[in-house]
Amino acid sequence: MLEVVVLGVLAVAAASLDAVLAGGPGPFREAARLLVLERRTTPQADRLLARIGAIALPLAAALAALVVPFGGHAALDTRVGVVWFNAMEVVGWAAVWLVGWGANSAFALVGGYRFIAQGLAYELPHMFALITAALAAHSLDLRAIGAAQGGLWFGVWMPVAFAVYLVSALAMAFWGPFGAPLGADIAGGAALELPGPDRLVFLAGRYGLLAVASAVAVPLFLGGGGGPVLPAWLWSLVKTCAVLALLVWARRRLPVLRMDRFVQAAWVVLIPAVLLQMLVVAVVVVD
Amino acid sequence: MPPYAVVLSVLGLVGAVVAAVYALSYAMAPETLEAGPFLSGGRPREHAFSRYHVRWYAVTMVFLAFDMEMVFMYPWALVVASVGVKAVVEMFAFLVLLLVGVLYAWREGALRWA
Amino acid sequence: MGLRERLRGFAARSPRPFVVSAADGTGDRLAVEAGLRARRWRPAVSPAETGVLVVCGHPGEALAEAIDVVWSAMPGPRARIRPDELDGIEPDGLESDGLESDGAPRGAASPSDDVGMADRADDRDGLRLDVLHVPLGPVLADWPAGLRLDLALQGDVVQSAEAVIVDAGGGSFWAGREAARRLDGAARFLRVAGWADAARRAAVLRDDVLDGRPVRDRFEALERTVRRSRLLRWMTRGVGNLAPDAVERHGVPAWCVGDVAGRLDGWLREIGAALDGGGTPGGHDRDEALVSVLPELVTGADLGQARLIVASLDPDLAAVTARA
Repeated sequence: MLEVVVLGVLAVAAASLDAVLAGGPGPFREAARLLVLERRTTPQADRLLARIGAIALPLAAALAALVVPFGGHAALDTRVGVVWFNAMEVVGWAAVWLVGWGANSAFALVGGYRFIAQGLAYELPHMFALITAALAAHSLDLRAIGAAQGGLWFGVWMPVAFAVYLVSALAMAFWGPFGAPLGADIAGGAALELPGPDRLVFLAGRYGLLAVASAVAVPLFLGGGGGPVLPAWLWSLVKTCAVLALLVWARRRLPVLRMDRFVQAAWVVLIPAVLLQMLVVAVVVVD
Repeated sequence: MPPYAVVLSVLGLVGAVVAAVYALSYAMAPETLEAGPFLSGGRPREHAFSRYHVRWYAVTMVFLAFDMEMVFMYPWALVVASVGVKAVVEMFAFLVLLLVGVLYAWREGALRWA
Repeated sequence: MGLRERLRGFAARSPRPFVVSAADGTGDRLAVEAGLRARRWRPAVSPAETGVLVVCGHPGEALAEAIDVVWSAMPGPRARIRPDELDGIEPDGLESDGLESDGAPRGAASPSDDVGMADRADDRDGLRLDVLHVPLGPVLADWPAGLRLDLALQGDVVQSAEAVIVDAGGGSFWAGREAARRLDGAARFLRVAGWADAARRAAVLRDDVLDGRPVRDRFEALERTVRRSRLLRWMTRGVGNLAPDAVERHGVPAWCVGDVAGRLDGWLREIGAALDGGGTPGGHDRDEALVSVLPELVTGADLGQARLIVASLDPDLAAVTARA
């Protein structure tokens, strides 16, 4: 349980860091602003669908957080943590699309569909990156994968898989260069018509997803809780903060990618590259 | 705690926070305004609910083919070490077949639509 | 002093204004942007997320009507302010009777019942698909003030487009300020391209140029950053390609020929030359011509590309006298 709460705190920390980098008010002030705002709905909107979408995002992030280990301990004792994380992350597809569709607003609709196209681009490289790490550790248990990197971090000897994972982490949280679904060019995209509380819940879920994706990178590629002097859980926390800070920082540093160009690169470059990486790992494992 | 209790308590925690957000919002602003949608100052000429032209429908088909395959890869990752070379050869032969499909889709221009 | 007032007061200290500019509102808009930066406030990208509207310049009748549509759809507590009133925002209460100050009911600007479902039309692949009619502008962040593009969309692809000058005149703010004009264009272009950090740097440089501060070194650093960005080049190359014959057909200036990436490169060169005190090439930009090429350029593009195309031409309608 504690692990989930810690990730929730990290999500708030990520929002605070983002506010500092953006030169804007912090998350609590922004939350208060959204709470005092009059709720607004568009005519004939499917309010139920949109609200389900908004709430699904933080729920998915929290459920994904169940399998995130700090040190050798995760909230949920399961041997298939990788699959569970993968399944929860995909809930985001439905969440963003429902929010975009439910508003009965053209720009929001476009934003919702942008995320589906984005999913088609990032999901397969993402899954191959997950499986590459699982393959090297002969396990789908994030705790076991983290513990299997006693000598050399997976991120060091499978750099392609690690890089692809970081890209997919940005993409699943529709963050930074993958922010087109909520793009400023379509006035906020899928989130355009969200009323105050729904917007707050939805955006909080997005930070939650970002925090969880950062935390999962640690057992997959950064040696889990391994490290000198400090206790294992603290190493996990330190590494998670580092990855999260990197992802938050990247947000304003890169232009947004459009899927009409990125999809092709994802299929023709990323997928073959990460498959080659997996082949190398498979050969090492069999040896 | 048994696993289901952990899951339920996390669900309850998130549910409570979300409920508090909505409760606070309704306390601060009891009324809901019906207005919009935002069309940069214009009024809507039709509902946005529509059959959306997904130009990337060909990609979704290729995606589905690959995605089904991923179901096999999770258990495969666990047994590669014990089964050995045979498992690697079989899986990558399968992947190469799929990649040939991707190559074909690429040549046909299914992966770009601008 | 109840919880509600305290929460409202806490929230009100960092509002998120939605900024609209009339054709003659450029000077006001720059002042507002600088004012927001100084207060560490951030602008809203849509009116649904805020109750504070800032109107820059003097909107004509048509633009004022569009602004009213947006204003009536904004959630309370609302405040509609002028550019010099950032410090005195006094929102109306939520306990109003749901009427506008002129007695019209809120939200009535968009009658919901007489809107039909989307109808179908042929698309480029010979399919019959639903069409949505969506205007871009005039009330849109980082969009040329006073411009409206009426689009027919299938999915997010523009099937046809018509450009309308909603608000014009007042005289260009940029006369004799070429470097600042292009820096402003670059800042808005980069925001549309989703590159917040570079956009912010360009906006700061623009304000410093206008204040007469030295910016040469910082501009060169920004120019290097933008030119070296492979992602930006990847996303803008081949988009919105204008053939050389458009110079004669539409009377657009020669720098417009080429794609979005090329036009941005041209701006960066122009800024560098202007900062060096060199003469400004071209001078007058023939902004009506820039508007007249937009429909054929955005047709066939998707919404994201269309925004980049418009931002890369950046017509200044304050310089246009006759309304189209």
